Amino acid sequence: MLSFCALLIEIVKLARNGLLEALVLKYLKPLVGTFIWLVLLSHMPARAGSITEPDLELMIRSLGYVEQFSENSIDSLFVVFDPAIKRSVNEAKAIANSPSVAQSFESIFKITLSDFLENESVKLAFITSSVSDQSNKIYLHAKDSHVFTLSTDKDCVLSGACILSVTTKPALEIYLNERTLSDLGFDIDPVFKFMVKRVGRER
Amino acid sequence: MTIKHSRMSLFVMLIFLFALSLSAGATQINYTELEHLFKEPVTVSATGKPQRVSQSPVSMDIITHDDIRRSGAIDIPQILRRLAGIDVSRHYKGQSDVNIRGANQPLSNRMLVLVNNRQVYMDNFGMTLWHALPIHLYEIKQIEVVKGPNSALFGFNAASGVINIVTFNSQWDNISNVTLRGGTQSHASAAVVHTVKPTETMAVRLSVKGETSDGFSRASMMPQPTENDAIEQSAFNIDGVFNVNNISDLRFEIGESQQETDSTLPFHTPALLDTSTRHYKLDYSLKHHGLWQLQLYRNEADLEIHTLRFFSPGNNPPSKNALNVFQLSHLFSPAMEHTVRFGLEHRKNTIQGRDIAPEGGSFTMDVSRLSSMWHWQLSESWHMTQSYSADYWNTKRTGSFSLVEPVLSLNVNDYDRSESEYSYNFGLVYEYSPLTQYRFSAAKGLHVPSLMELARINSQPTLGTESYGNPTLETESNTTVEFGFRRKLSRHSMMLESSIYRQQIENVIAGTAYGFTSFSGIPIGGLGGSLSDFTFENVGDTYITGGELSLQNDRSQPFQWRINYSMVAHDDRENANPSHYVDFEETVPKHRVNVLLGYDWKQWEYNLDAHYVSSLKNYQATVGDPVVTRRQTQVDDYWILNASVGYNLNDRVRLSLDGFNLVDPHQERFSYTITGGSSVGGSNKIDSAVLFSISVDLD
Repeated sequence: MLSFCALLIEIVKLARNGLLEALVLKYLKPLVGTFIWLVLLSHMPARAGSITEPDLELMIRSLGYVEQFSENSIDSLFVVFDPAIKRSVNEAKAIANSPSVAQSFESIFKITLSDFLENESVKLAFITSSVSDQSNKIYLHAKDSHVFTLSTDKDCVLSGACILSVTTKPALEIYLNERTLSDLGFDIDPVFKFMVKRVGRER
Repeated sequence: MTIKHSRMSLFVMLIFLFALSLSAGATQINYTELEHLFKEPVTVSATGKPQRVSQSPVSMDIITHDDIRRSGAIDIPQILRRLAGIDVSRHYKGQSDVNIRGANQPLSNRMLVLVNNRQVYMDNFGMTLWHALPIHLYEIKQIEVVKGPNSALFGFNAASGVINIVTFNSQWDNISNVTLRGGTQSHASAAVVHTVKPTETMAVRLSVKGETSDGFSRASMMPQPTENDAIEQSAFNIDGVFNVNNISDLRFEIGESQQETDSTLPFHTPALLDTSTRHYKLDYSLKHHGLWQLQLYRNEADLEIHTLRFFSPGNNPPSKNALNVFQLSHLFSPAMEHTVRFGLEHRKNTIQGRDIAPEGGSFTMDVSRLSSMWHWQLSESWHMTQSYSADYWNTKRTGSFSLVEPVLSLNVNDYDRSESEYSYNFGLVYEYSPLTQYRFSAAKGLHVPSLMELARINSQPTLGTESYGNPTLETESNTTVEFGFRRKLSRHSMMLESSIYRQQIENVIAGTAYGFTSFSGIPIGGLGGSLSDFTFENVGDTYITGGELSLQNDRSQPFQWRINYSMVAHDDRENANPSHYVDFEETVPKHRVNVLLGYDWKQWEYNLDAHYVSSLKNYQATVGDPVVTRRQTQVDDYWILNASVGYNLNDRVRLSLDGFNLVDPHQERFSYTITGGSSVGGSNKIDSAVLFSISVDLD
């Protein structure tokens, strides 16, 4: 905060005595220098994290733009996980314990991938990370059983197994696989479509 | 009138029939819901496609409802002043000139201003009467500020940028509030906003407001021909939405405003403006193979000018301006990576009255335009947007007029004129990471001359002056190249934005004035029919180089801060006409620094904004003497400090004490001299003001 105030005072001092004009106005070099600094700054690494409550809030809000769910609300969320993969298990736990998920669905079921592939009553499935490695199987089952698949793993959407992926860290991003959306028989609000990253994969 | 009404009825019927023939889908763009979803404001003002602000290919800012509420501001220029790249100069309590990225001047007319996509920029003088907008600040959802030309999307006059004021949609946003305010300068104002939902498919918001106030310092004000206060204003607006079916909405707006305020007109002429506006709008949105939007509106403005210059004081008949607009657009995705928008528009602008056709008749401008936008997601990291617009405009004058001896040779056939223009926007965005974005953009915007600049006729032989428009004026164009950068510093919840740009404004339109014909250097005004002339001409080009740097933290933090710096440097390259009233190199401040601080503690909200503006020179207005003067005076650099303390008594009642310009009474614009009899000089100083307000949200 102090450095911020000092910076402000220095700018004003420079402006008052005309130095700023001499420096900036005539030569523009400081502007170029600022940009070089900004470019360097932009290469600071971005942090990514595990599934968070804001991710799940974003997921629930996004579902409101699916035409089929806005007309007929859905009661149950199935969380597809792999018991052998720690990250997948942790994600499933996080979802099961999420207050916003609990508020939005009457029932939350954790289900293994093998059970999911045999279950035809699932209508909405959250695919945890790493499970999306089995993208082809997930896609085929989702298509046969008309399941809406979503994740916080972008790769799930890129592989075609998931229709939607959401994440808020390091920045808010929503990916939509339009081909999977269409293949699985769902529609989504056009305004929402215009505002998200749309991908598609030939299968 | 009957024909007009029957045409309107036919349009409405067609809309309903079209809508009812379709099925399945959803409705209009819900800004509030989308903002909650994406945790940032969304806009359609950047390209015509709904976008998050952080992903737009243009440099833009959005002022949110919460920013407005916390600021304690009483008008929009006060809020705009906080942004980087926005040049605000206040003349009077009720008049400010606002422009984006330099080239600001009295009655700044290079920036298009809209309310819910309806033009509130007035084509008569090419001006925006901010205080007369028939909306209350409380019903504003957001103010979208697009920096740089955007004529390809919005048409003429979006030459330096666009400000689109978006109000709440009564279908989703239940806004009901009463605000009372009073304070120094005998300020008293009241506003009521109320939303009702008479049926399940219909919602209507009504707003009514009134204000009376003296100027900042009556002692320093220009002498007025009447004894009116600095501002007297009242307005109402009805904004309703009818949900036709599950894929279409019909939004309608009707409003009126009356305002009387001190103002500065071209040639730095101080005047009392008596303005009356009315508007009627229908906006039909349909979601069917993308988004369709049909907008029809009519603006009417009556303008009465009282000044000791050019006009006789007293009751002058107003000039009447009517604008009728038809707009149709279709936004759709022909393929996954591509979004396309087509637009069609026609507008008819008519002005009549003493300033245009003193002996009867009118002046009309018709504009037709076709526009297109193509957004291409090249890869996950790159996207490109291109927009093009082709505009055709023609003008026509009816009725006769006469001038004694104009310096410019005017031919009545010059008024029957047609022109074709084009404009474009190109934007390329590279997302280096989810947090970092680089932007490159190039654009050409157009500023068509105002109706007064083209067709004004005012001959005052007894006062020794003639003031007239120039029907041969060329359209002014603004070509801009810009490089921008945006970086979210996630570790500190900060956003850093920056841009550098180069603009070329060609065919700058400026007021030009020619003195009396003289003999051996001695003016002979009034003798032999010799008059001084005030007109408008294209006086050359100006090149603008500038940059903006902005750093701010997350608005959801209890302690909020924002700092920005703007630099703008003009290089005027005038043609060989020494008689003009434009000198951007000297009259636009080169440096601006804005600092905003906010802190929330329990029920208290503290806000402070400070603004530094570097020195400038300005033209000196002369009153009571028609002799041409173009003297400049020095305006020292100045600080503005505004502070606001709000106390939330409960969830519905908020008390607020707002102070404006607390440290430094200063001059932002012109100085004046009054000649004839005793010679008096001075300047209009912007003084401090303190206002207390109570705001009650209704159920």
